Amino acid sequence: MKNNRLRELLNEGKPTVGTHVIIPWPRIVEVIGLSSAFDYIEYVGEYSTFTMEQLENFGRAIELFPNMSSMIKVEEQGRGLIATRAIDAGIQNVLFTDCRSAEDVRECIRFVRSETPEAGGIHGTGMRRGALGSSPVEWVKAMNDVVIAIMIAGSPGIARLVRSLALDIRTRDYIAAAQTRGEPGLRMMFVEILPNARGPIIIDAMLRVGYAIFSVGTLGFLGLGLPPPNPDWGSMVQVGHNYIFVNPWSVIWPTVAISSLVVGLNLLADGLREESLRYQ
Amino acid sequence: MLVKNYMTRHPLLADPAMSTVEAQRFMGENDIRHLPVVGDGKRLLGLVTRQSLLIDPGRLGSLDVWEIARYLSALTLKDVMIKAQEITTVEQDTTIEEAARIMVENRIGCLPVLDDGIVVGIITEVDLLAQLMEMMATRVPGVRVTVRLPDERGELAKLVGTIAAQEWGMLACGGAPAPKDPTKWDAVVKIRDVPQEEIIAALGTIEGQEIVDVREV
Amino acid sequence: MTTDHRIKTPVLQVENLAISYETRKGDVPAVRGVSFEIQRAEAYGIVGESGCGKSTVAFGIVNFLGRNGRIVDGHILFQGQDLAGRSQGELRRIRGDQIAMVYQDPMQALNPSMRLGDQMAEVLTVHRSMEKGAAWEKCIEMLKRVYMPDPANVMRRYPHQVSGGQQQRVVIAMALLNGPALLIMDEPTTALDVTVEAAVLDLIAGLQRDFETAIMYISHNLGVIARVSTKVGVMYAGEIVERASVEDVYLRPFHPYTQGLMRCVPRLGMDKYSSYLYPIPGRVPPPSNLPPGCIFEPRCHYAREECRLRKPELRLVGFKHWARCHFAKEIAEQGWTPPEGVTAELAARTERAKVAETILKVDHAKTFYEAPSKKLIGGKKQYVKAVDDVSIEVRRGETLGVVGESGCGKSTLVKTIIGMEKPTDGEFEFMGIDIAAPVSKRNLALIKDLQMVFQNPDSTLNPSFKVGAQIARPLQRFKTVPSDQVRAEVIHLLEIMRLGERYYDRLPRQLSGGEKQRVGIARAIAGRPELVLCDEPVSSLDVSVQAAVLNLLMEIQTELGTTMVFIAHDLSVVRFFCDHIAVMYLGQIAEIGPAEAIYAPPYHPYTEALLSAVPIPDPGTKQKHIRLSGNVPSALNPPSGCRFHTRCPRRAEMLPDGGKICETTVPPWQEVGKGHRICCHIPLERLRQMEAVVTVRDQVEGKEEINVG
Repeated sequence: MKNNRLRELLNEGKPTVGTHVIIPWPRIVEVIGLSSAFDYIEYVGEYSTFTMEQLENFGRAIELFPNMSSMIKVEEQGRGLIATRAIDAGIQNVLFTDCRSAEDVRECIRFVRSETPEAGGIHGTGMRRGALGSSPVEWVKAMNDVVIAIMIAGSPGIARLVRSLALDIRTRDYIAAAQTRGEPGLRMMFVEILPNARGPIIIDAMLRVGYAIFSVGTLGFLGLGLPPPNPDWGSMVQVGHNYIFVNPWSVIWPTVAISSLVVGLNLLADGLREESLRYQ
Repeated sequence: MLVKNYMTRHPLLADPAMSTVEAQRFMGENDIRHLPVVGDGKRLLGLVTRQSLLIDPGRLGSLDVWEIARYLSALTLKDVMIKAQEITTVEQDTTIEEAARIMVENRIGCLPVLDDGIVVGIITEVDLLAQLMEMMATRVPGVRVTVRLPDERGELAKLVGTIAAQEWGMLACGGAPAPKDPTKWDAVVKIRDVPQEEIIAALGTIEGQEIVDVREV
Repeated sequence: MTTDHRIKTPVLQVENLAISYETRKGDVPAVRGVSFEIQRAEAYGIVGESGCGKSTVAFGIVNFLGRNGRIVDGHILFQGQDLAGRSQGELRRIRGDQIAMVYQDPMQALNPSMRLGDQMAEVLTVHRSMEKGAAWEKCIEMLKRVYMPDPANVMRRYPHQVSGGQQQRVVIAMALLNGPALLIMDEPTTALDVTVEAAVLDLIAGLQRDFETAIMYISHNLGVIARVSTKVGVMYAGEIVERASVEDVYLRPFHPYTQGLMRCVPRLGMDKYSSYLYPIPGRVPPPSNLPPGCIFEPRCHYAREECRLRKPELRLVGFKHWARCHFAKEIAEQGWTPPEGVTAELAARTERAKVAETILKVDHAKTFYEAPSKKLIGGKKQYVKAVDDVSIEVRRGETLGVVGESGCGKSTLVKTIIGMEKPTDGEFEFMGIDIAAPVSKRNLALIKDLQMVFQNPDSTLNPSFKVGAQIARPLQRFKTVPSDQVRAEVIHLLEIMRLGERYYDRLPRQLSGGEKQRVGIARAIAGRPELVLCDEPVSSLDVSVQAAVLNLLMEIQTELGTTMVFIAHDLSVVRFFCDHIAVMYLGQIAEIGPAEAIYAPPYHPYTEALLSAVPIPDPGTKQKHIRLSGNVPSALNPPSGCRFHTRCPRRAEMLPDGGKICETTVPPWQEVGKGHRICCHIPLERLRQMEAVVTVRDQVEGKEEINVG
């Protein structure tokens, strides 16, 4: 993820140097960037005309220069739309004009923040482009969908497991004793058989959580992960792997996190198995 | 009377890596004089006797006390045992007398019994002596009669026939050529539950045969 | 023959052996201070109940203790050499060439994916570097020595293609291939049928004579030990408590535990109206929580203060007879008096009025299972004729015993009666009502009156529920008591079972085997059924626990008047417990009648063979030696005519024409009198002339015979 130079300098309390650009021509951005003279470019969107594609190109050009950021100045009308489109394109800072009240300011802030509707915000945004041209809202939702898809694909496995357990338990004498009492079938299944199958089911569930975490991590690495500020570990690895020779830690920590969680769950499952076997 | 019926099965065995000191103690504790040394699958590798544990003084001549001690403690059975190729052995189905012949001719006290190179038992001179005891019914009370008869066909049958006619029970019957008289043969018979005088009376009358010894044992 | 000149070193000498297991809770001393010795060609029996450590001793000798077991003290001297402190290579050689071990389950010892011949030959090719062809020949020879029929063919088969008895013979043959000096056998015949067991025990005795192998025989079955051993060591909770010759241990035991064991084993000839089984009170102490003094003290009838404070040593109490007790000699002089109440209880048993009303009547029952046909498509339907034309009658208040070997159909018969199997034919009448329907379709009142007790105590209770809840379930289902009194009734039942209220909230895993079985019985009688079917309820229990459970069952019978059908394979137990007995073979009843009548002539030839095969825990009893040849035929294709004719040892001598009629005609029922019937062609007068199989010896003071040579 590209760092926001303007934000950094402001956090350090240093002065910043910027320049105004009024045409959305990417070549201008490159020339300014190559000069290394400025910390940011302010695109004066209030007075210039542009299309969304031009904004996109602008943002891409900015990305060529790690030590330079960009800001867009938006006019009052349609500021929310333009601000979100710009951020999506890669322009990292927004200058809102003509704010007349506290309410106005709050609204502006809400436009930019990345809270999802579920979290009370308006939409989800991020400092990255949406995948496949979709908006971040759909994107976050797609993330949830991904998770759901994994769960559905795994359930026949657990059904097979429970069936084989039930077939084994059915041969025990206490089931025969229940039969000789004339117990109805449903009661036998849920009261007599199922509680005794819970050991392997719990262990299998633990292991599946591990598999799911693996899968989510892999999907994140392939680009289908969650965006910042709440990225998933796979996404972290995906971004970090570009800079692996510059900053290996950005890859190592999320990798260690994934593996330690999965290994930990496997060990927990192993321990549960041993405990459950003690009383067989 | 085959070796397999009178040998000691499952003899005490030793590993070639056992030290001689330990082997000596082992043989003393368990009161054995012959110890086969075996490898995998009880394959005979060698034999250790009390004799072979004696160290040749020549080997130790030049060493001082501590060196001797170290040399002795480092000796293993592999170094002192009689090697397998030099050991005379027998098979299970050999007769006892054949085993005895081998022992006499080679002046050895024990024969490992092998089955295709594997030790299945051991037969010693004491075993054969015990067998001799059995053959002569040594422990059973009775009257032991030695009858000298001519070494010809039919003589022994006469003797046995006489005993059979009396309907006596024979505990043992054996014999060997008479000492110092190649034409005669000494038959030794042990009869139970019959008084000595009767026996003398019955057997003394056989023509050509004389009782040389009779005793109650 | 003189043996004075032979080596006197014992083949195995164990001195003060102590083995501990490391567990999370600390070191558990499983075996302590065990000492014994086995001379050449001697069979040493180690007897004890489950958990006493006898198998641990065997594993310690062959160094098979597992990751967390260690020998912490003592010596094991094999052929004079200490096994400790030897290199791994030497130990491997000793264990491979000179010690062999035979386990309980032959299927565990045999590799299921290799042919039997390959496995056997492997022993020779690996240990002796023998060439394959020669090894194969030797194996066939050894199989002939163990009386395996058709050895060349058996070598080419896989383990699952031969019967259990044959598998065990193969295992024994494999063990003997290398001519071991010591053969350790850990319950080798427990999983086998009685007749097969008898044949295997004969084999062991014969092999011992021929090969002069020392045998260490471990078992919990007192009868088998009496038959096989010359000397016996009795183990309790990890220690040897008595050591002597087999006659001394069985007939003149000194240690209270041994005496207790001998008193709680039913012997052939005892019945429940004249004798009592005296169980040993209390439980075996767990090795992590041993009593400070004598380990048997908490359960000992004669315990005194000193027993609690000081641990007794193994001391000499007779000629080559050791016992671990402070007061062994005094106890012997004192004798033993039965606890109070026994005579009253015995009297109560006889006093029950014998009502002649029949409550269960089974006529010409047939239960066939469909066997999958060999062909993929089509093919004739084949049936396993598990129960084929069985008729029995059970009167109220009495106990019917059903005996037979595995595959005879006794379990199937009982399952058909209770409705878990569907009958193919026949009439089943219980209390006047037809019960040919499966249990799910039966009337609830009918279900309540017909209940079952199962064999395996470990699986008879649901592990997820508490004991109280499980006993309460039938009460709730059958609504025999109002719901507010269920708990009180459950506690009452627990009291009857001598368990007590504190078991109400326990889970099954906190109970011992005997306690679980008692809970199973409580659950079965909770609804006060009229008839209880017991499927081998005491077979998996230790001897002393078995006695306690049998006594309980008899109490239930006396007090509640419950009728029982009792399945077992232990003939002494059946004789003791049952009023009438049915002997089954391959799905049919061979003989049925009152208990005393079955055990005395006239016998059906199969009954005779069974009685001669059962090991009796009394070395002095004379028992005839009749062995059946061949295997039990398959129930898919039973022999024509009399099913027993392929193995019957009597038909050739007792019938004209060598018994040809047995092959063609189904034998008729012959009435002997008083409800005793035998299904056989041999005329009754000839059957009456048979000698009794077992002559129980009276306790006569005889002279000791000294063996010569």
